[in-house]
Amino acid sequence: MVETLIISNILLWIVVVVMGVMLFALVRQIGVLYERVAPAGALMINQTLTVGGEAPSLDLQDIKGSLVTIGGVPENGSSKLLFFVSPTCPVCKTLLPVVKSATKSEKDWLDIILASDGDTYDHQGYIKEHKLESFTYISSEILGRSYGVSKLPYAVLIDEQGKIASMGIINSREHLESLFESKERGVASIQDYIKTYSAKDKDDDLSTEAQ
Amino acid sequence: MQIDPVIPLVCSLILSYVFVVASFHKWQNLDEFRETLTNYQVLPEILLGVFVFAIPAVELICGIALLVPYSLTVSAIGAGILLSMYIGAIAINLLKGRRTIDCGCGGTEQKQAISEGLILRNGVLLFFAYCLLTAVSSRELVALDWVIALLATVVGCLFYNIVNQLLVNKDLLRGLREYG
Repeated sequence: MVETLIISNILLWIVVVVMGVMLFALVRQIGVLYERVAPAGALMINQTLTVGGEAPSLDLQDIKGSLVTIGGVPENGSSKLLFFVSPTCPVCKTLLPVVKSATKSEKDWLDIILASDGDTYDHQGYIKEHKLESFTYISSEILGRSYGVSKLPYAVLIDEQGKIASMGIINSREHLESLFESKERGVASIQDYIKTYSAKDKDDDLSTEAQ
Repeated sequence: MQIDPVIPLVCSLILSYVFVVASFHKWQNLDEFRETLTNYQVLPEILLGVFVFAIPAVELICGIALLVPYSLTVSAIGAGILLSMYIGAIAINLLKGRRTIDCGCGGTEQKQAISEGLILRNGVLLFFAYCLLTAVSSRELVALDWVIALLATVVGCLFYNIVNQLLVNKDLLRGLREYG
């Protein structure tokens, strides 16, 4: 009798463990689902700039000492992506490979410029550590301020006419791609897109009902 | 009141798992842990540099010492102090209304904002630490006790992870609502 109880007890424990594993898997899957469902767009928080407005025009020196013009209609007719980073921001570090791959894949129409501020010495170490020598790297406080950057990593996409095409906080590859996407589709942000899209859907429904 | 020896055994194993994993996550990314610690805004800047290394180190030492019978009492007190500190730091920030800071408990890939649920979770862990300090009835542990203790530990660790994931999910869901 006691033996039966022992066996049954251990069996029950094993069942509890298995159910625990299944419960964990389910909860994890729900978490992944929530992440996927969320619109993967870069969040716009900017009090200084507006999408469609002129990009502030600045002549600045990059870290190598050559002059770079930001804003205005560029001579080579390509768009510019200002990617704001800092050596002290851990998320920026994880995004550098993404920026590098974007440089290659979007090189036909896009110049990527890394922007930061603070001690030049820090930046040189940062460039060396992450092999950013091929980038135009600007360390300037005025740049960050005139583009209203308050949170990092932040990116601003300036189109070939020198206007702000899109901008936002960048935390993942999807966020960066959403900037390119919104330029292509001519919508300011993912929030905007969802709004107009759902409004259009409603209109369509109404017109079919009328017929 | 005396408790059965299996209970402190399970408690020590679960706490050991929790602390070793937590310490491991922190060591993996000390820069980020420094930022988390700064965000809590409970430590003066001078102590920050010390605590960035001290907290994961103490967590690791406690986690390992919990497995050794000789150091059980000391490590249980250490674990209790650590947990009380976490509860305090979270409570202060919640009272100030700073609900969006990362708790720093889930490592790099799992961001989790501080919440009352987290205090409750740490409260349960604190109770486990307390169980290690209470009087134990003298009963020889037999083989079956060990089997059950091990299985109960696995279940306990699983539940710990489930609770963490549920807290993360709650954040994610709230994020989704804000979009809508």
